[in-house]
Amino acid sequence: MTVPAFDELTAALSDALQREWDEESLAVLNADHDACLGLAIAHGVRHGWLATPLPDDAMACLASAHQFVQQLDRAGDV
Amino acid sequence: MNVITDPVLSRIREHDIDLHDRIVAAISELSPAAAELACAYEHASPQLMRRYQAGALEARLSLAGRPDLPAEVAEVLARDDSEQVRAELARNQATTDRTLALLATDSDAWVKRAVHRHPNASEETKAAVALTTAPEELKPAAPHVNVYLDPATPSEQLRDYAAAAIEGDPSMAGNLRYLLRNPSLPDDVIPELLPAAASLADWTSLWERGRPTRPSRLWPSTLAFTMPNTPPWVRESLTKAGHPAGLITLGARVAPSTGSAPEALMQLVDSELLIRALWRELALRGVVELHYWNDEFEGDKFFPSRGNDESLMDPHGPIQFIVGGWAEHREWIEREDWLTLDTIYRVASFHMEDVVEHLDPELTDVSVDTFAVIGIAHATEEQGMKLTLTPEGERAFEQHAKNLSFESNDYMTTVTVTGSALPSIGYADTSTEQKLALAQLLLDSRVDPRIDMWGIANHFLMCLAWHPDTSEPVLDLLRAEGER
Repeated sequence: MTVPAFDELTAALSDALQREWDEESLAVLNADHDACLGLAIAHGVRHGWLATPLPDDAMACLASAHQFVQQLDRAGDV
Repeated sequence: MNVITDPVLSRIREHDIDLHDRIVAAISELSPAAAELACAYEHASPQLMRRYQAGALEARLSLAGRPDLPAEVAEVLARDDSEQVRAELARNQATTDRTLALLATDSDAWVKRAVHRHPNASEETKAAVALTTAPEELKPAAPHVNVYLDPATPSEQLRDYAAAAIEGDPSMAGNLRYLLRNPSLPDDVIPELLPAAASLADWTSLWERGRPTRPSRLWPSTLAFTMPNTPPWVRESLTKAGHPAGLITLGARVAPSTGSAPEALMQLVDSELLIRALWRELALRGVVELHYWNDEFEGDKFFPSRGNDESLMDPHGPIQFIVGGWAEHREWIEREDWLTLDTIYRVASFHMEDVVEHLDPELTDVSVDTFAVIGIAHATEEQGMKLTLTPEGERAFEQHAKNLSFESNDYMTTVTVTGSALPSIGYADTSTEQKLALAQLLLDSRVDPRIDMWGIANHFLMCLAWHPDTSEPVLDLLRAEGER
């Protein structure tokens, strides 16, 4: 799996979260716990709410979120 | 109304009635609440009653309900400005016809009705009431009898209700609280009934069972230990007479305890003297953290925690309400203000469960920004991630917190320990003899099923075991008990 640069990753995750939300899809809420937190953290980074660099456990959540979004992409959901 | 008993004052009275009366008078001067309690105390002297017949309303109300009111005090109260006082006097079953005659022409309809129904009212007195009252107002209302609460309900029938409650009969859910207060309910069913109690009302009924509750569950002598302005000679006299608060009063000598161990512990719990002595010191030493849970629905909880160590207190049982529930005033702690960033973090993180695990439709209605706030709060609070909010993030949190279903009375606040207005109440600096006697009192109090089954005595024994200043002889006692 290719891991994009941090800014690119958080922007992509935040966009994916926003699209899911706009479509009133509950898929995000069915994501595993870490992926769910990763999406929230990505959104916080994108909006300048969180100081960076993030700690390792938060980065691991971003990785889970990335994996989740890729699965949604493959399923044609996002 | 109930008359308040006080085994410590009674013991003093047996030996020195003059000292007893001086102590009661001194207690009555501490505050309006103290005067109210002193005026309800069983051995209040006629001089004290005369003194408060024109005192504060609370004291006059206490007097008006006494069964032993001197005639001249009753006559003064019959002319009291407050209709509450006059009505209390008219309902008092000991009020004589002479006083009732004074109340028969009262301006208040409730007072007159009570006079008309009074068993001591003569035909003349009743006729005087009838002269100024419409006949329909004097018709006796159909009495509402709560069979669960009524002492006249046969004890066998009460046993049947108890059995239904134990079996989880839904019809008992709202009535158990009354049954538990019924003095005719045989005590032997209580241990079996304890697990059936499931709400604050049930637990409070159990805790108050068999004890006077108005105007207070405290003995007047216990109240004296809670007041910073109590003269030292009063505290010393009470300690010498075996008041249990002597066990947590610095510099006091241990005297043979007065009253049963459960009664004594209940006084230390209800006065909060024991949590002031133990929780306060344990929090200051960093052994425990104190928390306050605001909850309008179930009732507030105030409790210590030690990380995730749940052995401290059963989080779902009555102990957090009984030992540290709602209290009007605790000057020795400060609670966090509503909606600080910390509160937002904590409360927002609770919502994660609702959003993600229960797919709560109301909460999934939140904006994506609010969802992110919830997620970040949860990651920080529950997962322990070291995320740092920027100033912009703090503003976003405050803004989006408003979108959450925050209830100002349904969240947990952190508690900071401040100075105590009662510097003589403590544990660390008490003598080994006092510490041993306190541990023994806690062990002995477990004969009461409430104290035993709710884990109250064990909780405080654990506090002693954790306290850095608990001396070896006390630890030996606790170890021996643990082995048993």
